[in-house]
Amino acid sequence: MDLLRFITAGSVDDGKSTLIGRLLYDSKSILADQLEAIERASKSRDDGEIDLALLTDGLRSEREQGITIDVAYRYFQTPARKFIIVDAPGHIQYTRNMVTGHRTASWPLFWSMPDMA
Amino acid sequence: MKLDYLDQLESEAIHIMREVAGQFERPALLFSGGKDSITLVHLALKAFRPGKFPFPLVHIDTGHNFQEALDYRDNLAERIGEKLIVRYVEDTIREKKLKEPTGRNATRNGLQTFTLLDTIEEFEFDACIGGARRDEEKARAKERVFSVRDEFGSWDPKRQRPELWNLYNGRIHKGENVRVFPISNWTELDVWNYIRREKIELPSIYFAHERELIIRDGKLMATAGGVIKPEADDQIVTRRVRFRTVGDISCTAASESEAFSLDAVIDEIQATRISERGETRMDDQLSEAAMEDRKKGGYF
Repeated sequence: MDLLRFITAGSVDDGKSTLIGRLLYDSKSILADQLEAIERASKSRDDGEIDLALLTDGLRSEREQGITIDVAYRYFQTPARKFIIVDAPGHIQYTRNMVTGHRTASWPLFWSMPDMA
Repeated sequence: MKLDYLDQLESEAIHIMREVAGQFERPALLFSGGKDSITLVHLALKAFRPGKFPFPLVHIDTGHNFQEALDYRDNLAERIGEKLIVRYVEDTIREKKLKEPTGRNATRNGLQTFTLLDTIEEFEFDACIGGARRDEEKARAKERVFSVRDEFGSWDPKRQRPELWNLYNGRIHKGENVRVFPISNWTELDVWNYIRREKIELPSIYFAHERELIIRDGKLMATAGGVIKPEADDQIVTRRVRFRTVGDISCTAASESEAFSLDAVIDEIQATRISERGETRMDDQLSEAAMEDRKKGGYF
């Protein structure tokens, strides 16, 4: 079986972590207790909607601030391929963490949200 | 030649082990008798044989371990002829006059950290290799392969260093030490597939067997060793179970299973909808950031 490593890259608040959360969700790679835990954590948010970014934002300060500070790694598998997904921060202050994430990845997935204003 | 994913993970782990041997003066391999540390020993054999390991195996024994895991540990150390150091949480409790947790769900798991830090000090270990994996828990998913800890063993997520390509930076100040995680990128399933491929022997409690258990908060807890004291309203049952993780008896739950063979265990893991630690570990379910907080306190 093949191994593919990729990273999401993009600017702050463009939804890199949420995209990864959605990929995991759609590929049914989120286990029941993990989904329950983020549903519980999402309840305290203003809009009450489930926040898939919480899957990779594993540090206390990330959850408090709603941002990614350091790299996180998630894993999923299809019959043909095993994936390592790297979630990297977008803030300029955390560039060194983002670079650390790139080391593990062979492919970047550039992700940019058009300005809705 | 394109390497299979298990070959890629294996060669990454062997490289990391050899980096430890090259960069540190007094490393150690933390061995618990669980499948992840057994995998580490197998990888170390591949990394260093025909030579001796450049580190001893170290076990921090809470005194609440499964006998099967302890027997396996002693047999393995003897079979491969490597040095095994065991330090007991019980001794730390006595020497430091620590208060042992009491009550219904008391566990010594937290006290392990004190013994671990004392052992690191006693032998002046500058690097401790451990079998933690990033897929286990969301705080572990954030940790570097070479994770620098301060003199109190404390992990500071805000102070993590860059880690580029396959370059591992083991430079530390006096008093600091490094925790090294060679199988960071392995998942539970990868470990099992590797164990099957390499025909690694495991303690019997990883496979289905009949056992006496207490049902507590919906979890099946072993009565073995009298670690968990049954209370009046506790129901004691005999079930066919296996352990998905092997840790301290007081915080490791069993799962009902018919998996008598490696193939059956792998099928079971592929089909499960509950995570490894979610199913079996009581200590992670205390709060949202239970693992992060324990790591900050010096835990693995």
